[in-house]
Amino acid sequence: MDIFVLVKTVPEAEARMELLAQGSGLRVEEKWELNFFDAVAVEQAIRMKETMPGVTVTALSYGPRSALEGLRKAVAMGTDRAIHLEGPELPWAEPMEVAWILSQALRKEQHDLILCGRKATDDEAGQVGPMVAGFLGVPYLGPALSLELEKSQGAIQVVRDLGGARERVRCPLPAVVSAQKGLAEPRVPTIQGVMKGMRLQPEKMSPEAQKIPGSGWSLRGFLQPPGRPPVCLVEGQDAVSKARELLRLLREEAKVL
Amino acid sequence: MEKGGIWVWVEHWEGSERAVVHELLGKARELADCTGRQLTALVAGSKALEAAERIQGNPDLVLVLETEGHHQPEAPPFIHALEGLCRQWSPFLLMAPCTLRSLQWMPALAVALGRSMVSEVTGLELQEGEKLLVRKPMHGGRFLVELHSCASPPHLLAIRPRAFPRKKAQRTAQIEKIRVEECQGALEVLEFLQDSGSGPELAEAAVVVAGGRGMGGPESFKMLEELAGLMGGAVGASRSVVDSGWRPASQQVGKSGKTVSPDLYMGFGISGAIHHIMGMDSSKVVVAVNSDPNALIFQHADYGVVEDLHELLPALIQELRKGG
Ligand SMILES: Cc1cc2nc3c(=O)[nH]c(=O)nc-3n(C[C@H](O)[C@H](O)[C@H](O)COP(=O)(O)OP(=O)(O)OC[C@H]3O[C@@H](n4cnc5c(N)ncnc54)[C@H](O)[C@@H]3O)c2cc1C
Ligand SMILES: Nc1ncnc2c1ncn2[C@@H]1O[C@H](COP(=O)(O)O)[C@@H](O)[C@H]1O
Repeated sequence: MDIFVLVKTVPEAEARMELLAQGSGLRVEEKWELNFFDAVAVEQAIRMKETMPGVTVTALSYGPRSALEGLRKAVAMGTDRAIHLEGPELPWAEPMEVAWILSQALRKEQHDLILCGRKATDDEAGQVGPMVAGFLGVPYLGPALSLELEKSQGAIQVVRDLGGARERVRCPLPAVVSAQKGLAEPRVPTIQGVMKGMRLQPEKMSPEAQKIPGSGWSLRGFLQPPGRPPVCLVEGQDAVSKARELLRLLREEAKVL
Repeated sequence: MEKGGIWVWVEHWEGSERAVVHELLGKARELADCTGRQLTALVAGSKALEAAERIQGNPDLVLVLETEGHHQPEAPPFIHALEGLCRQWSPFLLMAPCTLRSLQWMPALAVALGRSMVSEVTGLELQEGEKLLVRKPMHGGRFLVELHSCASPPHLLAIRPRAFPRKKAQRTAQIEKIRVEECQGALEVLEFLQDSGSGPELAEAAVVVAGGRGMGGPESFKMLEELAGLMGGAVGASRSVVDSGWRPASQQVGKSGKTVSPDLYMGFGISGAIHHIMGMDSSKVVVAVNSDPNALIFQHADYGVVEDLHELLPALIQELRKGG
């Protein structure tokens, strides 16, 4: 069984970032991590490999040189193969374009199950997984809270999070499944794993030059939301007087009550 | 009646529409009025008519999609029909709330129509009459990206809850029913599990009261529930709290949980790690309650109370109960 995990490298939450002149782009400090939800997806894939014979797990990433960082982490966690689809460094990429490029690469490889994250924490789109499914013409299930392969290995059952409700759904393979937090707790790689990741020479693929269908938005620029003024500390003799003063401020000054 | 124009997808469950639907309808009305377009609301699935009647105030027309069988609003027959309707009527804009539900179908629709979409939209303007300028947060709200539409309609947008104010209107839109063909999707639904819970949905709530590890244990959250009840709000939690099993995962606020933008966010016993801040920094007014005057969360708050939350929470509840 061939499992692919779509992995994206994103800036760490702590990475410093600033606007370029006129908001034309972002300058991002070189502190990268494997997208949180993709780490969950990698963990799920590796657990399937560990509990079943004949499973190969491949991490696939599209992006600039920094994409290697996420691939290293995936390999350190235990994926067998890592493929780097080389792409330009862009401050914003159209999810449909990314999905098209990933799906074209996936077409060239034998795949039974494709795992991805619920969303990338940099662009916060949540679109690439379902769009890859759309381009490949296979079902999309997610965000998954659990994933089981049926004994026949021809179908899966997923509990998906619908926000306020959950649903157990079933579909034949191949399929795309996105990972929600809770699907599997990403492991801390072993020292040997980390070494393997550091030595990684990923397989390289060039994206299809063909123009993607229906690109619809162009980047105008970036803005920084205004920061908050310094905090106003609520004074009072004791908890009761602080509570009273806080409620007064919320009513009279902030006008939110 | 002319059916192109601006379309709003009414997300509902068994006839109860999501609060965010009214925000979308308000914004869509404004766009429709300033471009002289029709505003059409689309409602599908079980008890669609109940939802249709409640949202009649804003649109010019409500299209109710019906099937022979009993289906959820996002079931394959409706999404398939929606694709056909988009081709037939060429709407200028299709807006849906950005939720885990709409992210199931809108990306697929985008692929089918060959039109890309924007999700988590928090800003939307018309320029030169026909071009759209949209804004959406990136990097946990640290930046907003601005995008211009550059393809022909329909433009597909998934709009974040609480991005636009709720607006009431006095219209009584015409309701039109459309019978759609049954069709089988690849997915088989085996079981539906409704999460228990009362009060507003976290992402849609005007008030969020969130607790962190400083709450000390799951019992203290009873106080937060009571406070939320008194303020008409929802309870949120930090990741540590969820990972300790004190609260359900659906209440986690932050980078790996939900993003909230209430009018008022109150954090109790939360240290203010960047991962948590990413999920609540777009709130209008932030109150932080922490016994440590150096807690990071005070750097992201409008009002701070340096106090033991076990003292402050009962006092707040007491004062609110008095109505004082
Ligand atoms: C990839 C990744 C993703 C993450 N995603 C999220 C996320 O989505 N959401 C999230 O919240 N975190 C997330 N985290 C975790 C985050 O980094 C912090 O660890 C977490 O937010 C800390 O939770 P806390 O503030 O409840 O606990 P702590 O950091 O332990 O803080 C507890 C606070 O309570 C105060 N306190 C203690 N007792 C009292 C008292 N009696 N009265 C008043 N105050 C008191 C303390 O002073 C302290 O400031 C993520 C981390 C990573 C690495
Ligand atoms: N450049 C990329 N390379 C590989 N996978 C990606 C890429 N971009 C997005 N993905 C996958 O798609 C998921 C959703 O991304 P997004 O739609 O950008 O929020 C991510 O969690 C990844 O699993």
